[in-house]
Amino acid sequence: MTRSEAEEAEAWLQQARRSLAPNLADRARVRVALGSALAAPLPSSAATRLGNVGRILARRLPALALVGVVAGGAGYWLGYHAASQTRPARVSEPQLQRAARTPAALVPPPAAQAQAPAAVGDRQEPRDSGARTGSGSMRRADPNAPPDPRSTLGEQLPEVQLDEELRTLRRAEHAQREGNPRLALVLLEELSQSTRGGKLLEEREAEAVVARCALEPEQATALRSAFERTHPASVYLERIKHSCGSGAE
Amino acid sequence: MGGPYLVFKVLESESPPTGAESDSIFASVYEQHFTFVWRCLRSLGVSPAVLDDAAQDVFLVVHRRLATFEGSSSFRTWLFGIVRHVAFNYRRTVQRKTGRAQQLGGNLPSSAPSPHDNAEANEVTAFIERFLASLDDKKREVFALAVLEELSIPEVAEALGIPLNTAYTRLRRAREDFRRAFSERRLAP
Repeated sequence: MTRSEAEEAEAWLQQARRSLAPNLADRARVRVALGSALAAPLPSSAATRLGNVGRILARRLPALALVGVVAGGAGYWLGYHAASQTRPARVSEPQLQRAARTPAALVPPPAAQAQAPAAVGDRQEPRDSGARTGSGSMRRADPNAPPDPRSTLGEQLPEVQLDEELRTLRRAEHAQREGNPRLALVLLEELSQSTRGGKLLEEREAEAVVARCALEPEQATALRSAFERTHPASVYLERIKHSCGSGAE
Repeated sequence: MGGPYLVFKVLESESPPTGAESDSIFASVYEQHFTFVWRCLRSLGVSPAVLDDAAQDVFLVVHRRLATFEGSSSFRTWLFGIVRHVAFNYRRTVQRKTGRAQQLGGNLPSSAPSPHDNAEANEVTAFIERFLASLDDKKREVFALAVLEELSIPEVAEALGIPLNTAYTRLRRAREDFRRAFSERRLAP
């Protein structure tokens, strides 16, 4: 084997490592199935096959159901998911209008993210409440008051189904691999505009950041930093560093 | 951070891990080693159709046995012992059966390649899968660990429970086979 052949063979091996590796959808799909297996009684065939594992897991159901067990800390994304349900920014009308104007709305622009840390909901709540109540003092003072219909447009959207999220993620990944990050963004954007909630928000954000880095390499560093700030413990940071690391550096 | 680090941290402590600590460790292990588990299962010949089930089984066993990891071996070699066992069982029996993921996850999209998959990636994947399938079990395991997962030879020997020299010999032969297969691919029309 000549030197160039050896180099080509090594390149193939590198490609093989990547193509045999799981994608985001694979990881998320197994995570969900594993979560189900740990949080609910196993099907009898599986329980028989797994013997003690099934019995021991069954004994630990309450704790496992609470902790979530898997996934970049399932607790982490469940918490994230729960937080997203209370974020006015995700369901407010202005946000949806902004989303409609820009295909990159799934990932806020880096500057906006820098100004909008995790407590964005807390900070925006009084302003939104004030806006929708006119003088608004009663509404602002009462945290249990029902939300104004104008701010709950997002809540009228159907809740996203997990299989739909996974399918979109997979299609977005294929689009990226085919060198079409714009399509990936559009797919993710369509999903976030037509549905609400989701269990794979972090995965969707990661995919969108990678796509945006490809489309806007000059923003790569800022996008990467913004994602890092929002998800400091994310398992997708490596991938984002790989995709967004060299663009603007 | 996480994974083995957390496992060692718990092992060093006097008191046994609480349920929450144990679950936190498991979550870290899952995140850190999912790619390793998935790729090893594929390398060892588990069909894409049942990869979800196999990966799930590996982590169910990990969850059960994590507390028994003594730290006398590297974590990945310990983990590979489980992967190897699960892969063997799947290759032998489970591939004929309906995937359990179907029961648990409904119609979630699978990882099987679609027409949209990148053509080059498909070619490479097809080649590497054909090549791995052409190897006998012994060489396939060494190739998967040493070449695809880039474990050191001492780690490979430990994971497979074979002498160091045997690991070197198998790797040398597997590499020769790879070079031959690669050259033949280039010559093919």
